[in-house]
Amino acid sequence: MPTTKIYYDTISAEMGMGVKEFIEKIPYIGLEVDELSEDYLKLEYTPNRLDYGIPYGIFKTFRGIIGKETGLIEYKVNPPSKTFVVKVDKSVNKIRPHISCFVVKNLSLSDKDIEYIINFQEDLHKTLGRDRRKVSIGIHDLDNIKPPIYYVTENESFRFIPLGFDGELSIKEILEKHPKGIEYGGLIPRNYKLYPILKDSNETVLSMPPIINSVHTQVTEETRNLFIDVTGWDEKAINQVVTLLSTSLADIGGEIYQVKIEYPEKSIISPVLEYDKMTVSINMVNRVLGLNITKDVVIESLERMRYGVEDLNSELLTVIPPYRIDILHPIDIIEDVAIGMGFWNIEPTMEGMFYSEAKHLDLEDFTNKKLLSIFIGLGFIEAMNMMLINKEMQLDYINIHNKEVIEVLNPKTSRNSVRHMLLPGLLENVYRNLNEEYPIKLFEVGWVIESDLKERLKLCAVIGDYKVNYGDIKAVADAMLSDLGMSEISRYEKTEVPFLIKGRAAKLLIKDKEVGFLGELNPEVLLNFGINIPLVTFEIYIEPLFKIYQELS
Amino acid sequence: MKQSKKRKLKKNERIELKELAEVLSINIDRLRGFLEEWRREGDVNISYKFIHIIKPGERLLKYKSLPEIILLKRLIERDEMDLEEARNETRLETDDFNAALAIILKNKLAKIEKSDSRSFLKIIDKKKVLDYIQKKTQIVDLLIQKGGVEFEREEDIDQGLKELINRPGILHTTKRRIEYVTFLKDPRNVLDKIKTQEIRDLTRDIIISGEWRRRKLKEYDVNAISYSLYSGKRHPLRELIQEIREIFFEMGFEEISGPIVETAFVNFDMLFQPQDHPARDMQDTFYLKAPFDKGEIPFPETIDIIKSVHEHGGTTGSKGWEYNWDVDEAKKLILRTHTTAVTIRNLYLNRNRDSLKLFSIGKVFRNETIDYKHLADFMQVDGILMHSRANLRLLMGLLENFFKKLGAEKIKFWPTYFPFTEPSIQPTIYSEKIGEWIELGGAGIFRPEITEPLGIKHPVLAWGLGLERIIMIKYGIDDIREIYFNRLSWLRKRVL
Repeated sequence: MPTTKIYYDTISAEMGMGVKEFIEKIPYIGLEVDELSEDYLKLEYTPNRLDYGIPYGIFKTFRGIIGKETGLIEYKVNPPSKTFVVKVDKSVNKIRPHISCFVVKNLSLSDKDIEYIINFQEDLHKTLGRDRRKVSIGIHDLDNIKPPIYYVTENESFRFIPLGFDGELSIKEILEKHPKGIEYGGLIPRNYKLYPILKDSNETVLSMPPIINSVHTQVTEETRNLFIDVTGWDEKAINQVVTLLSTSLADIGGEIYQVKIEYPEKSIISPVLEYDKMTVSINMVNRVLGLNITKDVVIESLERMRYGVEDLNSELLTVIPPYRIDILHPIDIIEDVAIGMGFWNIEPTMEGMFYSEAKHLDLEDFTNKKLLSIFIGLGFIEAMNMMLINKEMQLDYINIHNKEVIEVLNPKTSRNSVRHMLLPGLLENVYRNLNEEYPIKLFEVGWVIESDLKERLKLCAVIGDYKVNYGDIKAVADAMLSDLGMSEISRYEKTEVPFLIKGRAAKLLIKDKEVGFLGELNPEVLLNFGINIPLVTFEIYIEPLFKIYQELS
Repeated sequence: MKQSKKRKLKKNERIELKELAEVLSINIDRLRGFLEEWRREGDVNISYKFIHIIKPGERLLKYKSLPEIILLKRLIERDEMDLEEARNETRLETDDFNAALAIILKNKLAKIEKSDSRSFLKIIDKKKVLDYIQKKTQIVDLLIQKGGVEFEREEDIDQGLKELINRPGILHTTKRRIEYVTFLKDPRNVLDKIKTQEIRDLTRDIIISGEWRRRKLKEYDVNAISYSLYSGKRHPLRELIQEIREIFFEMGFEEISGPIVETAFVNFDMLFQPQDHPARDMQDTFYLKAPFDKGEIPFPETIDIIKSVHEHGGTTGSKGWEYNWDVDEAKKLILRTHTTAVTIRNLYLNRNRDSLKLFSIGKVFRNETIDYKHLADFMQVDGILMHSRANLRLLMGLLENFFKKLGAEKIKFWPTYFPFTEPSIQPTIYSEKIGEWIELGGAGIFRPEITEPLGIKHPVLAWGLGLERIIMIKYGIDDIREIYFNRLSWLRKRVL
C-alpha cells in the first residue's frame, strides 16, 4: 500500500501540534503509521484516498476532524490567459492521445515541498497512472516556457537534453540508454516510429511523455510558477489526476490558472473542478450506522469531513469536494459521517442479533472427528503443506511423465502449479525431518486439483524408518478400514504405480470402487527428494470414502 | 541349582547349550537369560557352529525307496518289460515313473527298444543293475531308519548322498546352529550367582514358576533415560480451524464452502471490483495457464446487471466505475484471492432468505514472493450476517464477541477501506499475552452496488481474517513459512 512521507517540521508548522499528538489522532481518519524515523514519519494510506499522497491533502482533512477548519473548501480557479494555449497535433492520436494541463502561480516552495510534490507525482503514476501507462505527469518551471505549447510527435532522431544528462540525446538514444527510457519505453507504440514531444514556441522541449522531462524546465527551490501536463490513454483518469494535483498545489498556497487545450476537433479548458452533489437521508444514516443521531450532528460531522451541506429537512444535500474522487454512492458519505463524528463514539452492540441453528458441513465433521482421530490414534503427526508446488517436483521427481496439472501464469516463485496429489509435499517434509527420531510418521488431509479441474479432498500418510515395509502401511490401512467398519467390503489389488516398487504396490478398493493406493516408495524417487531411509505411503480420496461411510450407517 | 549326575561341568570345557540346560534342569530360554548376564560379566564364553542335516524328502518317504529302485526290482525279474505294463505294475505316479526311467537310461542300466507299436525296457548289464540296487538301498534304508544324518562340513557328506541332493523331493537339507557354552571361571561359583541373582525383567515364566518368590527384583534408577515417545497430534493450524469453527457454531452460524478455482466474475466482478483495478493485474492474482485459462460464468443471468452496475451504477444510485466492462475478462479463471468469493456465491444462491449467518474457512492465493512475512497460499476465514436490522454497531458487537472468544481482552475499531465494503472497519485487539495492540483482519458492510443488483434483500455484515498470523502470535513464530515446514521438532514437542 502507498505511503506519504511527512517531516516533523512540517507537522508542527502546518498543524501547530507535536508529533505525539498527531500520531495519536491520525488513525481516526483511517491512516496508519508505517515508519517513524529521526526527522520524519511515513503514513500508509488506502487507494480510495489518493489525495492523502501529499501531506497537505492529509492536513486539510485532519484540520476538519479536530474542528480547526470545517466545511467545504472553495477552490478558486482563474480563467486562462489568452496566450496560454496548448495545441495538440493530430499525430498524437495513435501514440498518446489525451492531454490536460494547468498552471499554478505564486508558489513558495521549500526543498521539502518539492520532495512532497515529487513523491505525490510518483504515487499517482503508480496508482491511477497504472505505472505511467494510463496517465503520466510532467511538472515544469513556467517561467522557462514561452506559450503556445505544442503537443506533437517527432521521429527518433529528434534531440533534446533529458533530465539527468549533460548533453543532447536523440529519442532513439534516450530509449536505449536513459534509465527512464529503458523502463518506460514500452509504453509508446513502436509501429508508427513517432514519439510524443511537448515543446514551446521557441522549440524548447518540455518533455517526452511518459518518459522524461528536459533539463530546460526543471523545477528548483527558486521556482515560483508551475506548468503541469498530464498525458495518457484514459480521459477519466487524467481528469482525476488533474483534480488531485491542482487542489493539492492550491493547498500549498498556489493560485490555479486554467489552460485552453486545442485538439484538431475540439477545445477544452482545464482544470474544471467539479463539486458534485448527492442527497443523503438522516434515516438512512441512522439505519446503516445503528445510531439515533440528530440532523445537526450529521451536518456537523459532514462539515468536519470538509463537505458542504444544504438542509432539505429530512434529507441533506451534500456538496462533495472535487478531490473526493472516491465518492460513488451515498453510502460513501454515510461512512464519512461515522468518521466525522468520531469513530470512538460508536458503541458496539448485540442488539439486532437473532437466534439461528448452527449447521456443520458433514464432510468436515467426518474428516475431523473420524479420519483425523484415527490417524492421530495410530501415532501420526499431522502436516499441512501449501497447495502450490513446483511442477517438476510433483511429476518428474516422482517418476510421473506426460501428465497434465493445473499451472499458473507468471508466478513470482518456483511454485508454478497446483498440487494434484499430497505425496510430494510429504516427501519434502520427510527430507526436512531426516535428523529427527525414527520412525517418522506423518499424514496430511488436504485438497488437490486434478486435470479435469475438479477439486478433491485427499488423505496421505507416510512412515519412514531404518526398516519399514509394505506390511507396515497395510496394517495402517487395515486399522482405518476396521475403525470405519469397512474391513469386510474392502480388498487390495496389486497394481503398478510409477513411484512405488514394482510388486510392492496395491490399490485399495472398497465396494469394488478404487479409492487409493499404498506401497513402498521406489528408492529412485526417495533419492530425488534426498531421502535415504525406506518409506511407505498410503493415499486415498476422502469423499468416496465418506459416501460409503454414510451408506453403511 | 544342583548339577545332575549326567555330566560334570568343568572350567574351560565346551558344552552344548542344550546339554547344559538338561544338566542344570532349567528351561533353555531362561538359561539364555542367565548366560547373557554371565557373558557380560566375563564368566562364560558363548560360541556356535553350523551343521548340515540331511533328511529323507517327500518322495523318498512316499515310496520308502527310490523310484528307479522300484522299477529296477521289477525289471530284474524278467530282463525286459513292456513300458506300459511297467507303468501300471510299479504304481508310480507319472512324474516319478518318468524320473526313474531317466535315471535308468542315464546310468546305462537299461535301454528302450521299440517293436511294432510298443516300447520295451531291456536290461543292458544285469550285474551292474544288481550293484546299483544294493548300494542305493543301503543308503536309503539307513537314512529312513535314522530319520536323518548330520555333517559338520559339506565335504564330509557321502558321495552316494551327494548324488541324491539335486533330485527334487528325494532329500531335504537344512542347517542347524549349535550353541556352545564354555565356563571361563569355576562353574560352581558361577552357578551360585543364580541364588543371589536379581531378576531384571519380570516375565510370564518367572511369575508362573514362582521364581520371583525365591529371588530379588532389581531396583531401578527411576530417572534413567528411556526412549522418546510422542503422541500423534493435529497440526496447530488444524486446531485453530477447529477452534474458529466452534466459535461460529456457538453463535449459530452455518458452515459453507466453495471452489478454489474461480472465475474473475465471482471473485472480483460480483464484488464490484473494477476490471482495471491494480489487484487484478498479474502481479497479485494467480491466473491459470491454458488450457485452463477460461471458464463459464456460473450465474449468467446476472451478467447484464453486473455490467450495468460497473459501467454506470445500474439502478443502485451509484456512479459506477465509468468504464467499459468486458465479459471476456470476467471469464478468466483464477485461484481465488479471498474467501469473500465463497461468501458472495453463497449469498447469491441464498438470496431468497430473509436472514443469514454464514462462514467459510479455506485456502486463498496471492501471487507474491514468499518471505518471512508473506505466503502465496494461506488460510482465510470469512463470516457474514444478513438481516434487515444489521448495521455498523451490530458488526462491531459481533466482532467483539468473536475476538473475545479467540482470546482477546480488548478490542478497538478504526476506519479503513476495502473495495467491497462501506463503511469498512479495522479491528485491533489487545491481550496480555501479546502485550501490544495488533491489527487483525478487516470488516465492513457490503456496498449496495453488490447486494442490490443480486437481489440480496438486507444489509450484509462481513468480516475476515488470515489464520497464519494468529498461529504466529500464539506460538511466537517470527517466520510465517515455519508453519508449513512441518518440522517434527515443533509439531511433536509443542504443548497442547
